[in-house]
Amino acid sequence: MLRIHVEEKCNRATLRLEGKLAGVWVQELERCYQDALSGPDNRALVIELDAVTFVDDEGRSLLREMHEAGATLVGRGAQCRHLVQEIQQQGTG
Amino acid sequence: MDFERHYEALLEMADIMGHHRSLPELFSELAKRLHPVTAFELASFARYDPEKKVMQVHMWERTGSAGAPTEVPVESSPSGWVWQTQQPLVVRDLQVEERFPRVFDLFREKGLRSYCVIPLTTAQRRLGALGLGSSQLNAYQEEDMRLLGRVAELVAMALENSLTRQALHDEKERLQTLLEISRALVSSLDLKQLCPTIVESLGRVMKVDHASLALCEPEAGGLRVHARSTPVKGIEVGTFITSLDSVAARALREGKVAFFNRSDPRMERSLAVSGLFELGVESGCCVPLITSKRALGTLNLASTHRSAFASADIDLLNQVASQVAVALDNAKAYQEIADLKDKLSKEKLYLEDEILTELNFEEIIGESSALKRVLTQAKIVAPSDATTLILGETGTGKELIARAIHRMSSRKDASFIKLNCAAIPTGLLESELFGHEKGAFTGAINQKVGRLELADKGTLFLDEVGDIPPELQPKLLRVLQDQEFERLGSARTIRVSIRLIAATNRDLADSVANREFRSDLYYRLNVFPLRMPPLRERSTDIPLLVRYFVQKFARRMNKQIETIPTETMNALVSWEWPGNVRELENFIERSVILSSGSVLKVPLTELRPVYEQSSKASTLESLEREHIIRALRETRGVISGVKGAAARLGLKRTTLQSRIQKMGISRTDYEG
Repeated sequence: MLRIHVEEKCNRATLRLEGKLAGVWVQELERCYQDALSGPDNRALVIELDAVTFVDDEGRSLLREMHEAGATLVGRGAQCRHLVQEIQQQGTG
Repeated sequence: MDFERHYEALLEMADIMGHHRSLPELFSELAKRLHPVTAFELASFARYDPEKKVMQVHMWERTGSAGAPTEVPVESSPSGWVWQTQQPLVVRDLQVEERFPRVFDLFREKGLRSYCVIPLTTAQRRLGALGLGSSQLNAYQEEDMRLLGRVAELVAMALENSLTRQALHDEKERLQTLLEISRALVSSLDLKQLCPTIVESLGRVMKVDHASLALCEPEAGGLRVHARSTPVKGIEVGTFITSLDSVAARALREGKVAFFNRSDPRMERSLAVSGLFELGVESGCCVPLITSKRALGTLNLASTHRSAFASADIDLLNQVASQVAVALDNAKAYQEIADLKDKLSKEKLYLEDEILTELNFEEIIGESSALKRVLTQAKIVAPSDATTLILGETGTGKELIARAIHRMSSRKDASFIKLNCAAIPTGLLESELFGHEKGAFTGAINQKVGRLELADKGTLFLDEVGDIPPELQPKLLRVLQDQEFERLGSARTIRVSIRLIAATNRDLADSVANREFRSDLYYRLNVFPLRMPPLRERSTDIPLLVRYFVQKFARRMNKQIETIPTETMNALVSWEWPGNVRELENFIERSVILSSGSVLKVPLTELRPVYEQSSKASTLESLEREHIIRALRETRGVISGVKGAAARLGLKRTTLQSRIQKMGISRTDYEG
């Protein structure tokens, strides 16, 4: 189960994720991400991963795509921080 | 001569009685036949109407033309007097007669001078009266009265037959009505469709133009309209009727049919009824819908005819209402069951999700080739329904992979039932597996459904299958081969469809060699063996697992741990983890408890013996190894049991097996 909170403020949309980013929930996040993209052109997109408990390979790929498309990934905690760092390093590497 | 004419006229009339189609036609014909033998200008037939308590009077002129029937109060009518007293009435001169002025004034206007009335009565009931009027003075003599008496007997019989036929016809129509309404209720309980059906069906036997159903809402203290046959202002579906003075509320309060009429001044206050009156409704009734348990609401009927609903209709209305009430009650009970089932199903899904989330059965953490190889094999075997044997040390995640196989199989929507064969006393294991009937053995105070039955159409996971006692092994083999078994204490064979996944940390081949495990069961279980790699063979997964567990426990303990020092991680990766992932998980939980800041604080001293690879530790390990080999030699390789090596060393069997494996002790070390 993944819960996605969408917060839209001025020039910024935040997708706050809670639970497992795996299986069918990856598609659900992608749908929300596409909706968020359809907003104003120059607004920032932030993906908050603090409350994510598990990410499968597909979820990881989607996060990477979002990062490459300009979304900011934010994650606290040993696992999420490592995940964000890993994706960012792959992006720059 | 008169006698012959009378006799012939009576025969003709008797013939007509047998062939008439309707009462008006009968009287018209009778009047024609009667005229040649008795002088009269006007014939009357009066019938008592028990509903209205009046005399319904029909009149025929000599020419055969009939006037419209009129209602005359019993006490104002000469026919009424005859009907009441059952005596014939002969008025020889109407000019001097003072009784019954309302009727006799009319006769006098028509030029009649004399009049006679004979009662129409059968053995069963008093029906009415037959009358003749003549323009001649004193026209009816004794002989005429005798003839009329005979004619009256014939007419009464014909009338009785006609009334019986009508009653039978009415009864048939009522039964047909009930049948139609029953059929409509049985085929579907669509309330929207029910009201038009009721109007149509009841229309056979009474003048119904509108029907509606109002159901009780006790919490709100009123009734709510749920369906109606025709749009009526004030009786829209969903309208709430609160007024205690409403006709429907009266019907419910009194538990009987409540009638209403347009002429009733109290009706003006009711919004719902005034809507009906705007549509030309003249009368109506509300029938309470009552079951043996409760009052459900009212069936409301309305008609554009005055006094359309008579007390004679009450029985039928109550029968219809009773059927509607039972059907509504059943529908309500069914709905409650469906709601509960739905709720249970949702709760089950929720709980399953909770279990998966809590126990992390869904996630298998790791990217090592050793783990990926096992996952690939699991994906291959999952859809095949084949029995799977998962081998591996304790704490390697055998149950996790078993659940993953179940989830990837076609049985994923059915249950995954687990049984740890080592955790249950031997004596109870059979009962746990197969179930038992009440009284099957001392202590079997209730019937119990076994895990095999619970796992029907799903997956049964037998953990520690190597610990199944020898006497139970043939029974399990039979279930695997034939998919059938009997509960303890029952002769009834139960057929099931089960996919078995077994797991063990024992070397089953060795157990077979030691005659601790049946070879036929071993081969039956060993269809597709999967070996879970110990954590030391997938050390590249340790950082992932450490981060995962740190985040999991930090969240649970409401801590924020951001950093795991490199030295700590290296130490964790270097440790051999004899207890595998379970040991790592427990160790990390302990570490998170000990960590107060954002850095994970690990009690590294617990890992040092292996991490530092001290020579002293090696010596201790070699001493331990030698001690175990000695014990095995003394017990001739037997590990379990009271005379086994585990008991001699004061260790659990599984612990000893783990150490033997870890230290690489083989059979050649202690044999020969």
